[in-house]
Amino acid sequence: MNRSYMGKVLWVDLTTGRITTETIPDDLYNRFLSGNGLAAWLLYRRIPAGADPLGPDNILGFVSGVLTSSGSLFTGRWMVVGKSPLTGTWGDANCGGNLAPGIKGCGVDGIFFTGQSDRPVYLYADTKGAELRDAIHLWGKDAIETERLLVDEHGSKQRARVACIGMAGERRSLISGIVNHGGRLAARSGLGAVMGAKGLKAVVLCGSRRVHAYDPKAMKALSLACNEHVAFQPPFLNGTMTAYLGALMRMLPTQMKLDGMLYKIMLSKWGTVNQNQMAIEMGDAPVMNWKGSNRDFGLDKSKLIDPDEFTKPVVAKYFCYSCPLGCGGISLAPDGKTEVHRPEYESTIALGGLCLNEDANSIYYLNEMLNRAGMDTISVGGTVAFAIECFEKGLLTPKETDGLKLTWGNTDAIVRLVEKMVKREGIGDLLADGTRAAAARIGKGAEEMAIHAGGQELGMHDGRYDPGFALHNVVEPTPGRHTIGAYMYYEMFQLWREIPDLPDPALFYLKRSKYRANREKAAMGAACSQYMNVINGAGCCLFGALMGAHRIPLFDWLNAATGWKQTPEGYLVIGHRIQAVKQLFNIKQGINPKDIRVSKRVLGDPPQQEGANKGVTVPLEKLRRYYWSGMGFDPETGVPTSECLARLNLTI
Amino acid sequence: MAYSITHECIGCSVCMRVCPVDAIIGKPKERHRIVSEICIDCGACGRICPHASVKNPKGELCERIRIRSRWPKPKFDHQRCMGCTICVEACPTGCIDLKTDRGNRETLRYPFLKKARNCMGCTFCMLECPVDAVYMDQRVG
Repeated sequence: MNRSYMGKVLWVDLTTGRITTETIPDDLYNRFLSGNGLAAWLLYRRIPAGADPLGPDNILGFVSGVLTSSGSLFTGRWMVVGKSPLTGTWGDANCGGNLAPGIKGCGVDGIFFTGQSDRPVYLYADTKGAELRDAIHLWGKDAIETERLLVDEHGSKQRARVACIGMAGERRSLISGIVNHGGRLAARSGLGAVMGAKGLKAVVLCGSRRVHAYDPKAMKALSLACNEHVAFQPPFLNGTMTAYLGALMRMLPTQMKLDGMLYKIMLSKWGTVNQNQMAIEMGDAPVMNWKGSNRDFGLDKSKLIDPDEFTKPVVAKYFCYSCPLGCGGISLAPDGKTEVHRPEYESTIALGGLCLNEDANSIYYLNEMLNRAGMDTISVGGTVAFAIECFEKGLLTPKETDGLKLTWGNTDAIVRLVEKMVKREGIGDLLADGTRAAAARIGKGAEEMAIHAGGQELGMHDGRYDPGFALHNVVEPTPGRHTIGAYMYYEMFQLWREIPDLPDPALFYLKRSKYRANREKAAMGAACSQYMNVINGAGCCLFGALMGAHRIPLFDWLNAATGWKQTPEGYLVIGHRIQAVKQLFNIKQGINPKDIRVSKRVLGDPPQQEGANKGVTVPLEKLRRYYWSGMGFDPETGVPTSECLARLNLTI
Repeated sequence: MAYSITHECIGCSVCMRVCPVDAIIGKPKERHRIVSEICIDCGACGRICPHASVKNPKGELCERIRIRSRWPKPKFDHQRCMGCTICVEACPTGCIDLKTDRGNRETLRYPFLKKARNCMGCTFCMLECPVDAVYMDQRVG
């Protein structure tokens, strides 16, 4: 029966070289969708308690979503999953690019790697089957070069999609990711190190199997209607005006409920860098290792990352698979010849404002260097900012930094430091595993300056501006992720249009009301977590979902693709179930949810004395209790209650 | 369901050479067989078979199109295309790519038939396009 998922996953034992296919019963798709959901269930049961994330017991999975290749839009995301070596928790990372259709093209919904190879290998898979091949000639090469070589070798008469690690993953840097399509990264959770530890250099997918939806006509009708919304693109402000808009939003005591169409228009015009200056001005972007504010990186300093200026080298839009929006950009590198991916907002702020680095060219240069090395720009920026503050406080001296004068905004030193981190050379080796590990090695109170949640550096969205970010940084089974929930995400999702029981925020509200912890905030947070699990299970893009549930027909697509007759409420129950399994994964691995903490500084403890987030403190403990209670978890411990598990039909 | 080969097959192996996923097995001058687990239903074997011995999944005999350059080829409607690359990834022979000429950053990278000789007329690109921006033109090529 046509149902849009393939009904199988591939298991590759890297120790023995044995490759097997496992049939997944329909019931599991019904309960967990595909993508992160199915993977959470499989890995929860199969990774033994206390497994070493960099050892043979860990499982690394590449998964696509239920809707991938089924005729829907925005649904080309692939996810990599495993136990994170960075946080010790459930680890996942999400990427666009072109790998997702390759997974399903090989006739499976996911590829899971167990064991450890004693020599570098890569997996080649096509419509016929899969095999491990020798990768000694690729080991040591950067990710983009590796992809080029593999596409040249396998892609002359078929479509070859490649995901691989660069030097950072090979060197088991805990802040390394997995690279696809010329520099798109599944960057978070340090899963590049897991791939490197397994001796797996790359995955090459050449399958061309078609995916059949249950009701292709309905899929097409829904996609055409969705595309009408995407195509709506009226003239908009120029780049400089976005900064003034941000400043205006900072000055007003009230805030307006956000509509995702506005964000869609900005994304379509500039990509994620639309927020570069605006986010700094309104207090969303962290500055100077989260201790500064818009005052430290004002318009005079941030003008070089003005969205218009920053996109000048862009020669064409970049579209991930099945995306009608195209928020990426293909840019000319400073040499004027090579085409590279334009840095995203996260990279720009992490390597820019967070280190007070005003040099836009260096951000382009560092972004490409890190893409080739396969390293997470967010974590690298966070770690460099941490090192600079340690240097400022005297915890690191020129002797320990190999002579580098790590001062705020010292572009040359920042570039040299990142080069050393990629190579794990001198001070770079100390920092290549992120802030938590570096602070533990430095000691002397350095932990206070290490800004992370449960070990993972935070995305470039300030919880003091939107406490939803602060909440999701600690309550999610993968801490430190900025792409799961926030109050502004909830507003843009507009889920109350599909599920009337969910709270509908007022059109205008006082900013100070954001910092009140109550059941409504908990319901908003819980809905974000659950909806994001559905989004990831479907293989959908967050930016698409931000257009609003009434404009991106995710639930209808799922029903048309699979033949199910599930209600929106029913899909959120599936999302809830996935969240509970991930939470159980952490508990099984010895993680106490209450021990996942975020640095006090990012909660406004003590409050900032100036800038957009002046005087603000986030009541995180109270918020977390409400959230856990709303999720059916014990409000004090975060452990899913037996009633909750029974309600979710989870028999463990 | 997959394509199948009838007893009319004389084992000329033309279909084996055109199959993009190596789903056809058999010795020369003996009846060939399509491995249904591998077949992707592209229909190239049916279009090329000189002995009318390939049936489609509905059980109908496939019609040969004698001159390969007359096999249907995709054309792209740039008014409708949004650059989503679904057609690029759908092509089993990787013969669709994105144009390298861009103009300015607002320009979409439109798909085009880069390797027309490799195109098998499978229509996957047309079938998978969510906005009907791909159509097949038999005069192309």
